Amino acid sequence: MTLSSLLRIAAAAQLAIALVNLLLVRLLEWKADLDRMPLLLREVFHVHCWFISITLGIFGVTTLRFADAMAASSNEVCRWLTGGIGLFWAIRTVLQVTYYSSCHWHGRPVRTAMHVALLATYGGLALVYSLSAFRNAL
Amino acid sequence: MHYEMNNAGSSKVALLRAAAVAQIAMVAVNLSLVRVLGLHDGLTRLPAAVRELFWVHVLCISLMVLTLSVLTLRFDREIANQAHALCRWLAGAAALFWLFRGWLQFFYSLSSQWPIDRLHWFFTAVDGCLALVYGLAAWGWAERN
Repeated sequence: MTLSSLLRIAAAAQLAIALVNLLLVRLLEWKADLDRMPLLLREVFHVHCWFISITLGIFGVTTLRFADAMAASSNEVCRWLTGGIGLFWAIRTVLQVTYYSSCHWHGRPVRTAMHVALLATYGGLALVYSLSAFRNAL
Repeated sequence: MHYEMNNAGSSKVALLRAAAVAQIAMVAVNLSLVRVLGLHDGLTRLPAAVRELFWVHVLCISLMVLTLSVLTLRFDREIANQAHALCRWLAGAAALFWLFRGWLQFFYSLSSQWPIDRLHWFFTAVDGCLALVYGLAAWGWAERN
């Protein structure tokens, strides 16, 4: 599989995560908790959710549009952008392991599987973009 | 890559640099949002999963804006000159990002509180200016080049 194909898969994965993020409150059944939040905090929470989806949408669409140029590391702008997205996902991967409390999935097989799948996805995205950014240096 | 710049070109670069610096300031504000808006008590009453996601979102949005700032500072001349299709694309994406942010700030965020203070108007103006600068870089300046 070529790096260009991997980048297209990464783009599709990010668009999927962007969509899932918009449905997160319903999927995790947090509506009652959100309703109890102070209004300002609830609005900030929703705005953040939308902006994460917009960010991932931008990453996804830009990668789909420039997958070949990114894979070829054809210019410095591509390298910096893929490096930036790679760093974004690397930090997200570290957060998934170090920040979230294990009590959310400990002893719950479905949630544990989700945690592992997300960890693998985030790590994979970091790897693909980092490969694209640093392929000339390798 | 080096680009010859006339006065108009250098003013575009100056605007983009100012936008990058403004975005770095926005990152600093975003990271201290809970303290600035006094949200700490509300956050501590939330279930741990929701609270942790809230902070992960704050960090990820800050990272995204920081990435935009660094790319703008590093490739200010390339973006001003639309040296590569990706530069124009990036500027367009940043413009849409800030346009949506400004729209939300004005019509949704703080909708029930505003005008709570001058911060609301200040951030709406900053979002609008950032959208304008990036929008010009993506769509406006090309026709004049």
